[in-house]
Amino acid sequence: MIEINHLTKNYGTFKAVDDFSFAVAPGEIIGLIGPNGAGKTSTLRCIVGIQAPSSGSISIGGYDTAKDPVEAKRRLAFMADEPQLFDYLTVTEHLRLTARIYEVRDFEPKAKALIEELQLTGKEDALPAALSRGMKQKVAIACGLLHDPPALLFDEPLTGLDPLGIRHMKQTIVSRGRNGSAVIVSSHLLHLVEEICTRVVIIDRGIKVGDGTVAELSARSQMADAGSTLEQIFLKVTARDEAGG
Amino acid sequence: MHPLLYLTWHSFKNRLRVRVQRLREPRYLLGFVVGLAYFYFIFFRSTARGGRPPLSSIPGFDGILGFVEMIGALALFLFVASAWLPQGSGSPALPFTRADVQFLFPAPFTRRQLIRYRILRSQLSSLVGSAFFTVILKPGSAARGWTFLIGFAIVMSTIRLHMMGITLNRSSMREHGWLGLKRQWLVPAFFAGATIVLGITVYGDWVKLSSLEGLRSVLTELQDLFSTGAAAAVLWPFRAVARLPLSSSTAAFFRALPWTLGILALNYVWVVRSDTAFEEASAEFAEKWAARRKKGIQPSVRPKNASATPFTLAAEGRPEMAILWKNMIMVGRYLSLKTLFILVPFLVFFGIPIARNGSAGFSRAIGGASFFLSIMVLIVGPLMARNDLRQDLGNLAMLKAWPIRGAALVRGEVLAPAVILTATEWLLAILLLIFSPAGASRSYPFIVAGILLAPGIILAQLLVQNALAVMFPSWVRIGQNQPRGIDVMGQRMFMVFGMMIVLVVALLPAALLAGVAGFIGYSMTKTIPIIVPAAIAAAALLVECHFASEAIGRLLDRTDVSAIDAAEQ
Repeated sequence: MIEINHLTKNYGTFKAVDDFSFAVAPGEIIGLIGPNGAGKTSTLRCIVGIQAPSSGSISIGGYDTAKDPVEAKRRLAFMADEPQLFDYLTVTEHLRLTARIYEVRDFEPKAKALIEELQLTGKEDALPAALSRGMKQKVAIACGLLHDPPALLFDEPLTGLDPLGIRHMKQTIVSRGRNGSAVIVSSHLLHLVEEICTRVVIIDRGIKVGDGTVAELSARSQMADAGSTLEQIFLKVTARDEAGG
Repeated sequence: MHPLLYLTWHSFKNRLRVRVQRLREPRYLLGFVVGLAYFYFIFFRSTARGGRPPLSSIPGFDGILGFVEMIGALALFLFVASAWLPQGSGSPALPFTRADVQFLFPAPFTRRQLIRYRILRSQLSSLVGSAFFTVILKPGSAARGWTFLIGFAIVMSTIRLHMMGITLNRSSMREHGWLGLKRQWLVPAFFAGATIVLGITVYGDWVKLSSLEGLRSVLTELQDLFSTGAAAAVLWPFRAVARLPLSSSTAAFFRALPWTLGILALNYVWVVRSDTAFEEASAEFAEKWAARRKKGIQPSVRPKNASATPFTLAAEGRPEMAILWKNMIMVGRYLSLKTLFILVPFLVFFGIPIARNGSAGFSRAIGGASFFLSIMVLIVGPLMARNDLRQDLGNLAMLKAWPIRGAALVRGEVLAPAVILTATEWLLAILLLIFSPAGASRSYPFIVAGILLAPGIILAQLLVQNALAVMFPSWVRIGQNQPRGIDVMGQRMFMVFGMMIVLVVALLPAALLAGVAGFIGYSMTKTIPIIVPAAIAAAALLVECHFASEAIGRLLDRTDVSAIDAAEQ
């Protein structure tokens, strides 16, 4: 569903992403992890079409994001870490606008279901200024899920959510994966990635340094014990482990 | 060094360093060169060649200083008084940055210290602004140069302080309503009273004023009017402030200085005390709130409801309409009925001749105002109405994730300001048709031609503005970010110049087609046709606009959002 082939992204002379390749099949939930400045956000922005790759290609559902960006974007939803909402549109109006943009025909029952699922009931006519950060995050996610995208990208999806919101968010991501969506979750919360992702891709200084299930990564990184946690693996492959050096 | 002084000094120093460093980017360097060249040719070279002389060397300048002082005082009064008018929703708070709020608000500083810090920072800008105006206005001698520099800096400081006071006053009234007003009624009451006094003074003398011929006699009459009685009293503080930079000698400067410094000090005390009043009012409000709760009475807190949308967005259709819908909602929610208060000075200005001359005066005033406003809307409207890509550049990451072609996005974005400005033009055209001083039968072909041409001319200008925003995003103001510096000034001039060229090029084919149609029409009828050539030109302009939107759309598709992000910082 999502294919990234030899993606490179340069900012001037700085190489943020370097020859990065991976694919996400329908039903897979990929955890994209890496230290700060590793190139996660640049990768996500290139996939979504917010930034143009310097080289390489990306396709969503068989549509190349460079050659057929509109069709590729139609199959995609991106939930950014910092929810961006229009200051002057209410929650319902955001959903109505999204429905029109993504050509969602049965918008109203879907919007109602999403409002309930994301605990936004009672906030339908509120403007973003009257919403907490967590609520704004939920509105952005509701807009992203409205058109049932087969490819979903979450950038730090739990930021700003309360414990109940976190539980609901995890359920939402897992249920979308189970329903056949290809999901990428970028997060620093390794326990979240370990809990909900079927596979993990580790990026460091723009280069892929790990790709597989936690068990596979553990075996490949030659961890001493078979029961290594993702945190231990992460610190080992990104050479940030203070003890191990 | 006090931490707030440290912050002010190092911020100033580093901002300067960043401005120098950014000249390594060709577009900023180009802007800097254009800005410098402008300064050189306008303010230095012309003097060297004996071109434009200093303002004060104009013969009889000292004689007209009195007029200049009176006009300056009146302008100052109108500027400050209009700032007291209620603003639309969300009038600006004190200009603290996000970092200020995060670092300084939780730090062990009093609110008064924080306000002093803002005052100090604004004074630095006053000095820079004053130096800029000193260079432009070129006082005639070195003595006049330094007195103007210091005098103008004090005037700007006073205005900035007063504006800060208005903001604090407003936030107090917004938070505490009647209680806030009760605490700080004196200054707004002064402005309300002064406006009434000046209005009555002009109204009482209107017969004489309207019969005068020539600007000089009108100014003399106004000077006489405002030099006696209550009008002189209420205008005195503004004359005292305006007098300082206009001092004709060092002695005059030192005579005027204590009064101006006194007014500056009064404003300082008012601003700092506004804060105390604000805090006291907060405590008082908290007490009253507790008392009400005891009695079981809830204060009337109304939820902030969103107003109705301009039209219902259908579930299916062109994406341009969805973006138009979004941007029209923005206009509806940013403006409020309170915003119409800014029309009050216009109503007063046009109301006096109506009141004095009956229906003839009414007709003349409406006709004249409609013509003046229609020209203003056509020229300034596309620059001012920014509810398009210029406003949405900050959301570009989101917009680019939408499955919409860049061209459709561009068309959708420019539609809202185009619709609003065109509707305004058409409304003014109808008013002009009814109240035209030249008579409807003589002016209607020109007015109909204007109605036909307005959408195309407005769209063309909006597209140029949006194209520039897409091509040079870092030159465009995004949110509160206001780029500054000589390079930015040069860039703006470069932009204005570029826009004029593009507009001329865009209008040329339409004008040529209209000319051909006009020639054919004239050959056949021996009268100069107006409406048909205008219709042909309007159609040509709209076709051009369509192709331009396609080209800008392709540019937008290729735009890297990181360029916008960098500009925002």
